[in-house]
Amino acid sequence: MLKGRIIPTVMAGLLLLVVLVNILFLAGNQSVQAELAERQQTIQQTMQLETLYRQVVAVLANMAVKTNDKQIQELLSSSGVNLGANPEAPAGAK
Amino acid sequence: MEADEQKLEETEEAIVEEEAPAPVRGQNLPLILALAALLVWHGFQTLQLLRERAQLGIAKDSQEAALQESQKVQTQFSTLIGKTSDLAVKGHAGARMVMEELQKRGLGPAPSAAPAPEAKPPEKAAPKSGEKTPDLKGLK
Repeated sequence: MLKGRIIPTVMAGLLLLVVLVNILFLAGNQSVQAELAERQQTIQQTMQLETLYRQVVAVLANMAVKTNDKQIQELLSSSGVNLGANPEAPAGAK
Repeated sequence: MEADEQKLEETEEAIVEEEAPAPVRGQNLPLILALAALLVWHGFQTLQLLRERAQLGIAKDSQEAALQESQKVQTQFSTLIGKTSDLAVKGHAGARMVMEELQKRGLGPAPSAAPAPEAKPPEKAAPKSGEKTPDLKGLK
């Protein structure tokens, strides 16, 4: 009688264990998926922001070159944007 | 006579007791089969979930570089906007124009107090917003 119940009991115990492991894995995977989606959204938003950043830098650089505006030139160089040609050259040429 | 009947009954009971385990074993078989099927199914699910977990890990690693780059761009953008905003507050017309344009797009800090009217840009007036933007390839 007891022997006949050992196998189903062991199997049911294993089943319970596997189901619990599955629940844990499922919850973990869902959490990682949500994190990935959030990161992807950040990356996509930043791509749009980069376009805007380039436009702003272009406008400021254009302004700095046309008006020889030192403040804008300093702003750009402090932001890591070098205008290439020596900005003092036109002044020296005068 | 009575003793014979009693003996017969005892013998029958003994036979029934001996035969009793056999049907129990047979009764367990469907349960065992069902449990085995469920175990196989859930074991398969576990393997699938493990595989999915590994793939998610790879995807996360591949996003790392792009994410760092995007954080860098965000920092650069906010630095540039912050400095431009400071310049606009000081009364620089060109910076103010850039900030107004950004605010129209819903970006940049909220317009602060109007800049002092006597403050002028150091050189000439800023170019119009409709102006073509220069190519940035040579700028960086």
